[in-house]
Amino acid sequence: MSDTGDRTKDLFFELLDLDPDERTRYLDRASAGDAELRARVERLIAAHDDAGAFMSEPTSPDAGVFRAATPGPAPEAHTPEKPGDVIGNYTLSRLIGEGGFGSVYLAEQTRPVSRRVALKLVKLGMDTRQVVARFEAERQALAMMSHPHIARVFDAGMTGAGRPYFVMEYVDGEPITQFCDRKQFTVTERLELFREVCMAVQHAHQRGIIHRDIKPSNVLITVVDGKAQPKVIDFGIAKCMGRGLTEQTLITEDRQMIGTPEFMSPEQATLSASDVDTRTDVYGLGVLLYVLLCGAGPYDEGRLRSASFSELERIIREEQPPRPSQRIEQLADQREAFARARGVEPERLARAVRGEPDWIVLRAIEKDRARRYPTAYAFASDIERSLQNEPIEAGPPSRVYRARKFIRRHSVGVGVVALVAVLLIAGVAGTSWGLVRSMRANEQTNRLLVAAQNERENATEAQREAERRSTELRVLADFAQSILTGVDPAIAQGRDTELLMEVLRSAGDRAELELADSPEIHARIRNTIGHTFVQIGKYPEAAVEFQRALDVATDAFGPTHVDAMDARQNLLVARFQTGDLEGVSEMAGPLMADQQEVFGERHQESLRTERVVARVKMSEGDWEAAREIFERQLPILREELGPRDPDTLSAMNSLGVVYDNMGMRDEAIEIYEEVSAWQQELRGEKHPLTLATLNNLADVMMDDGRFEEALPILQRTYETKVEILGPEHPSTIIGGNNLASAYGQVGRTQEKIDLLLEIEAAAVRGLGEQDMRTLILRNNIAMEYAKSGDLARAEPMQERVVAGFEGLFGPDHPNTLRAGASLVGMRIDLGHYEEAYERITPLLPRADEVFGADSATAQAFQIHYARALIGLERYEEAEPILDRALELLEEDHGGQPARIDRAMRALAELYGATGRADEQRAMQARLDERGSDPPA
Amino acid sequence: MEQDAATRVTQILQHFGEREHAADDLLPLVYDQLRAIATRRMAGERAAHTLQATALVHEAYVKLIGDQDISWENRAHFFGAAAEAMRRILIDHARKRSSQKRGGGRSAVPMSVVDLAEDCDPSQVLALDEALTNLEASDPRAAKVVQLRFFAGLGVDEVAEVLGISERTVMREWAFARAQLFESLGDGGAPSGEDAP
Repeated sequence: MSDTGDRTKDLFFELLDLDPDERTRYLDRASAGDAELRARVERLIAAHDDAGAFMSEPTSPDAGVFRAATPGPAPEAHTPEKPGDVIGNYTLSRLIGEGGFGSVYLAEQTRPVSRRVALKLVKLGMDTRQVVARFEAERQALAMMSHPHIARVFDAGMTGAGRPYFVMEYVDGEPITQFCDRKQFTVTERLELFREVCMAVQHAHQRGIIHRDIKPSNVLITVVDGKAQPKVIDFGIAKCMGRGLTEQTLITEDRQMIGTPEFMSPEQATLSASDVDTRTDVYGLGVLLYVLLCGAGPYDEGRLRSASFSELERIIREEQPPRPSQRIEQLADQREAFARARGVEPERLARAVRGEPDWIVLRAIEKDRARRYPTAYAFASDIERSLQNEPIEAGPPSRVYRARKFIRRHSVGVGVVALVAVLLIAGVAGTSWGLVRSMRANEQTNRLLVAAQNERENATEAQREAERRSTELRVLADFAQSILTGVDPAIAQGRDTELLMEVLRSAGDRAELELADSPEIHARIRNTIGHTFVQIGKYPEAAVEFQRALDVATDAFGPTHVDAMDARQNLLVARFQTGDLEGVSEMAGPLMADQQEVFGERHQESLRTERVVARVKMSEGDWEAAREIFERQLPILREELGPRDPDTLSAMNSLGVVYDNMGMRDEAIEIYEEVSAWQQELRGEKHPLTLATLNNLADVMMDDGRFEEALPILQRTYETKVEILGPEHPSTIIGGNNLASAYGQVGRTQEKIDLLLEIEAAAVRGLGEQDMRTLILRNNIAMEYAKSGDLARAEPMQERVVAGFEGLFGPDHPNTLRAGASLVGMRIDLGHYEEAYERITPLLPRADEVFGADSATAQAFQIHYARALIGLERYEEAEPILDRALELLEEDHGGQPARIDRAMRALAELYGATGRADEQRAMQARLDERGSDPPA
Repeated sequence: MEQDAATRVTQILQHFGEREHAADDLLPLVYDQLRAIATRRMAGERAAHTLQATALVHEAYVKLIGDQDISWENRAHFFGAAAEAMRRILIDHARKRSSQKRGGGRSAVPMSVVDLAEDCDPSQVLALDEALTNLEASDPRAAKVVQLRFFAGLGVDEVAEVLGISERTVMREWAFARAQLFESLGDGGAPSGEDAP
C-alpha cells in the first residue's frame, strides 16, 4: 500500500477512537497543510458513520446488504399495520404480541362468520407466495386437527403489501411456564398439566402434523370452569414458513439471537439436515418440561446468546445438559424463587425433581432421536407411570452409552477416551505376552478343550491354561470397558488435555483396584498411562505411573522382567524430563548393565538409556563425556535405524549442540546442515522442527562470524514465518529481529533499519503499540538511528519508548530506567544539556536503588549525569562523580569497556575545559592505549 | 462424488505448502460444493430466500472437512477459498440476472440458480465486486477481511484466527474497508440515502 494510503488509514483509525466532536480538532492538527489527505479521511469517516447496516450481514440481501446505500425499500415497509386496518376478511383490533417472526393482532372476522381471531402477520423478507402455497398444501391436514388443546389455524393469505399472514383461533391465555409459576404449581401438578400437552401434540402427530417450534409461548393455558386448560398454538405455521421458525429467527445482523435457540433440537440445529419428524417435537416438549421443572433451560441462556453460530450448533448437538436436579443446584441464587414458585422448600425442590423426573426429561432430550421417546404418547405414558408410582421406561441414561456417543462424536478430532482405551489395549498387546496372545489363546480354547478330552492326562492342565488365558482376556476387556464408562461426559466440556488427564488418572485408580490380581496387565497399563502423560508433556505425572509400574512388576516378577525393564527405562526418561538428574544418574548405571545383560551390547534399549545419560552430561556441562557417547552411538544408529530415523536425527542434533558448546563450530555447522536437510525432506521446509534446526545453524554461524552464510538462512526462516504464521506473529517478529541484527553485522545498515521498521510496524499491528516487544524493537531502531548519527530521529522515538515502558512496567523497572538513560545519552549528544540534566536527575536515586549504588549500571547513569553537568559547565560537580565512576568500573575488572571509555572521554573533556592540559593529555594517552574508537 | 471431493480437499489441504497451485486446485472444489448446496436448498422445501453465507459455508465445511481435526493454517486456506467461491457465485448470479433483465424480466430467473441477491439490483452487486477488486489492489489485508466476513460469513474472532491478527485489528480493518466500499459505491452512481448529508 502507498504511503498516502497508509497515512489515510492510520488517521482513520485514530479518528475512530475519538468522540465525533473531537474529530475535527484532531483532524485539523493531524492533517495540517495536507488538504487532500484531510478531505479523503473526512469522506471516509462520513461514509463510516453513514454506512449503517451496509454489509452488516453476510451476503443476505433481504437483511439489507445495500440497505443504507439504496434508500427506500418497498414503501409498505414504512407503513406498519395498525388497529382498524382491514386485511382480507379481518379487521385488526389490537396488537397482542410481537416476536422475531412479526406481530400478532387480535382481529374481528366479519365473513362468513363473525368471530374473534388471532392474526399473525409475518415480517417482510419471506417469500410470501411460497408461504401461502405451503399453507394451501397443509390446509387439508390442518383442518383434520380437532382437539380441545390445540388452537386451530383457519386461514392464510397475503396482505396488500405482500406480507403473509395466518389466521388462528384466538386463545386468551398465558404461557404455561408463567402460569405454573404464578399459581405456584407443585412438581406433580406441573407433570399432570404437561401430560395433557403431550396428548394434544400426539393428536396432531397422528394427523401427520409436526409442530417444529414447541416452546412456552406456544403452549398457552386458559382457565375454563376453574380448571387449567392447555392450548398449543401455531401448529403448522413453522412448516409453512419453510424453515423452522426457530431457524428463521436464529441469526440476525451480527449474528445476534432474537429467537430462543434453547428449544431447537439437534437435528434442527444441523444446517444440512432438513428432515424433522415427530421426535423433534418430543425434544421440544422435553425442553419445555425441563424449564417447567427448573425454571431455566438446559443451557445457560447468556452463553447461548453470546455463542457464535458454530459454537451454538456445537452446544445443541454435542453438549450433554445437566440433569434438571443438577441444574437447580447450579442456579443456587435463584433457587429460592423457583422453589417458592413450585410450592416447596428450596432444599426439597432438587429432591422432588431428582430421580424419575430427571430421567424422563433426559430421555426426551436425548441428542440422538432414536434414543428419545418414540412418540409424544410414550412420553405422556411414562409421566403417567411415574405419577402412579409404577416403574418407568426411562432410566438413568446409560453411562456406557453416553461415553460411546462421546467417543463417536470425537472419533476423528479428539478421540480422547477412545484413544486412551486403544492405547491401553495396544500398550498391553504390543508385546508377546499381551492381548494378542490372550486372544489367540481364546481362539484356541475350544481346540484345547477338544484336545483335553483326547489326552486325559493333560486335560486338567490344558483346561487350566485355557481358562487362565481367557480370564486374562476378559480382565482386559472389562478394564477397557470400565475406562469407557468411567468418563463422565461432563468432564468432556473442559479442555482436551484436562479431559485426558482426568481419564488417565481414573484409569490409574481403577487399575489399582481392578487389576490387583493381574500384575502383568497392571504394570503394562501403568506404563501405557505413563506414556500418554508423556505425550501431553505431563512428565511428573508420567514418572508416578512408571514408578508404580516398576513396583508392581518388580514385586511380581523381579527387576529384570521385561515389564520391569520397560518401566525402568520409561522412568529414567521421565525423570530426565522433570529435571531430576540425580534420580537419572542413580538408576542409569544398573539399568544399562541389566539391559546389556538381557538384550546385548548394541541393543537399542541400552543405547537409549545411554543417550539419556549423555543428555544429563550435557545439562551438567560435561560436553566431553556427552560427545564421546554420541560419537560412538551415531554410526550404530545410522546403520541399525537408518539416517532418517527420528532417534538418529535427534542424536545428531544433540551432538551438534555439544560441538557448538565445545567451540567446534565447523563440526556443529556440518551436523546441523545434515540434520536440517533430512528434516526438510521428511517434514518439509516449514515444519517447526526444521525451522528450529535452521535457527541453531544460523546461530552457530553468527557466533563463528560467518554472517554472510547465516544471512540467507535467517532470511529464509523469516520469510517462512511470515508466510506461515503471518508477519504479526511474535515468533516471526523475533525471527525478523535476528535477521536485522545479522544485517547489522554484515554492514547492511540500511536493510537492518528497513527491516526493523517493517517488523516494528507488524508488531504494532499484531501486538499493539504498548507491547513490550514493540517497544524493544523501537528502542533498537532508535539506537540504530543514534549510532548512524541521526539523533534528530532517534531522540523523539526513544522518548516514546521510555513513556511506553513507564506505562507498561512503571517508572522503577530496569527496562524503563535503561531506556531513560539511553534517551539522556542522545540528548547529551544532541547538545541538549538542560533537558538531559532535568531528565537524568530524578533517575539517579532510582538507579541506585534498583541496580545498587556501586553497580556498573548505576555508574552509567552517573556518567550521563556528569556529562550533562560538563555541558552546563558545572565542572566542579562533575569531576568527583566521574572519578568515582571510573574507579568503580575499573574495580569491576573492566567488565564494561564502553562505559569506562565514556567516563574517560568525559574526564578528558573536563580537563581540557578547565585548562588542565597535562591531565588531559595523560587521559587521552590512556584512551589511546585502550585502543577504543573515538565516539561517532 | 461428494466423498470424492472431500477426499481431494483433504489431500490438497494436507499438502498445501508443498504444492504449487494448491489454492487454485482448492477453489473449484469448494465452489462446486457451495453451488450444489445452494441449488439444493432452492429446490428443496426450505425458503432459500434467506440463504446465508454463514450457513452455506458452514455446510460446505461439514461436507468437505467434516469433523477432521485440521490445523488453523488449513482452516485459513479453506475459508479463504470459500470466501472467494461465495463471491464468484454471487457475481456469476448477478451477471446472469442483469443479462436476463435486459432479455425480458425477472420471471426468467431459473430456480436452479443460486438465489443470493434476488432483491437488489444486480448492477450493485457488480459494483461492489469492482470496488472490492480496487480495494484488493490498494489494501489487500482490508479486502481479505471483507472477503472473509462478508462472503464467508466468518465472525470477527474467526477472521482474526484465520488471518492471524488480533480481533481489534479485524474490527478496524473492517470499519476502514466498509467505509471505503460504501464511499466508492456512493460515488459509483448508487443513490445515497435520503438523510445522508
